[in-house]
Amino acid sequence: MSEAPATSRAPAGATTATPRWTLAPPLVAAAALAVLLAAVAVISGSLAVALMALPLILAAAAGWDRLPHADTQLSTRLTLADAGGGRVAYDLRASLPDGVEAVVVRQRLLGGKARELVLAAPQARELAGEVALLHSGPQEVVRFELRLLGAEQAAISLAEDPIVGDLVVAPASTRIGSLPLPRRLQGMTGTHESARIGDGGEFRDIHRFSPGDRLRRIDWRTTARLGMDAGELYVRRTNALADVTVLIVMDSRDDVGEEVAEWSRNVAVKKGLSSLDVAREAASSLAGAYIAAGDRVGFQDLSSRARMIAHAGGNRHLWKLRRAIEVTAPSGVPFRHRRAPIVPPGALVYLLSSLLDDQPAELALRWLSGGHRVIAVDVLPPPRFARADRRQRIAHRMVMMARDDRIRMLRSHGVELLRWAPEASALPLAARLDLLSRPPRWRGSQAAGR
Amino acid sequence: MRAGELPMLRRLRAPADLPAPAPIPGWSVRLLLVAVAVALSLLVYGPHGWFYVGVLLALLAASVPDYLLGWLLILFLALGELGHRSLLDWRVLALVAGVQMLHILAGLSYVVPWRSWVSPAALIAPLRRFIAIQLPSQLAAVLALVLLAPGAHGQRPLTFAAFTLAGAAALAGLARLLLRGR
Repeated sequence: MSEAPATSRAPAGATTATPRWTLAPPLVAAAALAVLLAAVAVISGSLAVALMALPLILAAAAGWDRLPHADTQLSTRLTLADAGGGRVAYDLRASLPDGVEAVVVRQRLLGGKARELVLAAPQARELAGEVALLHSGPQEVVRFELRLLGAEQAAISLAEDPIVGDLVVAPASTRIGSLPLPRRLQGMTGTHESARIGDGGEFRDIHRFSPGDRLRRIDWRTTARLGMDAGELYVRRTNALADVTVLIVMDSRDDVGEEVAEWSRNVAVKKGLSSLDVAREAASSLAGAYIAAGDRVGFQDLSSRARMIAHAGGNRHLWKLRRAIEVTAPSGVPFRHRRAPIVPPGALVYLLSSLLDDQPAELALRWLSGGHRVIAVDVLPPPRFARADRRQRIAHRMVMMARDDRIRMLRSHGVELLRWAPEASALPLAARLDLLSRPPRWRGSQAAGR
Repeated sequence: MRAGELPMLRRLRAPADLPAPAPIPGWSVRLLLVAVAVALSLLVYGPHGWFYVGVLLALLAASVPDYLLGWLLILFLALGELGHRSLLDWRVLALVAGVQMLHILAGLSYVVPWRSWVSPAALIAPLRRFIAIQLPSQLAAVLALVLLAPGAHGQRPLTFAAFTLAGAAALAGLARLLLRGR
């Protein structure tokens, strides 16, 4: 059902810098100590002390003799490539200055804990590896920081600017069979059957010919059977087709993962599937399905005015939508809307949110009062308590109680709920969408939220 | 983690996804520094008294290498050697080797983070230089001890003045070597 996430845009970053060398304390300490020992040896007449100074002098001399030149340059080129199976291959090529004996490499993958390696210079010229992607959206895949070491630790370069490989990862995509529709369908073309009489839809009824009916719609059999005189004609009427306007609203303010213990730290490699992963997947899948059905889709990120795309249709528009969805990232800043974002008349609104605070719920109610059908897509993944302590469990329970109250209030007002994240005890996503796609009288009471 | 493996053992093994093979844990350099320092302290001071100061200095040098206590430890050992007569025996030759080893290990401890992973290739150059410096140093030590150390009857084959002159000449030669081309 779900396709694996694919990487998009693999950048290649090349940098050239002049390392800022500093004379290392070990060299200074060795030289100073050698002179001191020689003086002690001369004063005390101790041959052994003089002999102890000898290797220190030679070591300091060797380090001094091989000091790297100040004007040599360090060039690096970092490339990222799709390695398949949700993995990214990174490759850092470094052209090291002469006189570098070893390199301290500080590496951080996917924003996790930094690891440090001490490598010989030839080894540090090419650092390559693979990393499994854990999340969709914009992310730092790999970060390198290099410190160059001269011979005998005589010279050390100050920490260079980090070499960072960023990537925007496309979300997974879910195939959607049934599409929920707004309360009223608008437009004269499309793929959805409306209640209006028109062309393109299913058979509606047989009706007496009236001015305006097309002659090719006359049903001659029925006319022959029912017509009492020559002027009494019957036509076959069909339903009109219409398209749908959908607005996908993403609440990207917070990005919480499955692991409840990581809610405060929010470390990418530890938090598991996150709410924004689910939201991106849901938004991308819904946008793709509606555009494929010939509908018009708009997108709005509640945390950014810049990420607003007016509703339109077509493949080119879908690319634009998917790009906007991919780059959505948590803002960390509370959004303030004096007015709810404008929604096209008769549009169906999808509000993708973890529903952990009141603001998205308030917006949903405003759209609902404007006559729109609003489906709140709950993107909070099922919690895991593997590393959570007792206090975190209690805090989580309290947050969930407030959230449940919020969801109950939304439902009581008529906002429909769709849980997107997979859950063992709930209906499959396809069944939930199927329920929402049925006419209201067949839908049951909020069945899709189950 | 492999089946039946203790978490402690897992920490001793380098992560499999490092971009280059680096199987040696960074703290092992500091452990080696402590081992060499303790052995040299034992050699110079014996197993009592000042020896424990040497152990303490070794532990401090390994735990806070930024304070350059490794070189203070070398000075401490040299001062301890003042109490011994310089004779041609393995003790002095071991000290000459040990002092340089301490210098290398203290220098590595200064630049190698204790939680890092070290490639064996990164240690080859210091080891090669250790051998390159020790060969002439040990030869010079044997010659100096033969020529300058007092014999059994207390007489020196060469005078102390000659020893000073030889040292000064060596230093001048070294300075000339270092200043060439700069």
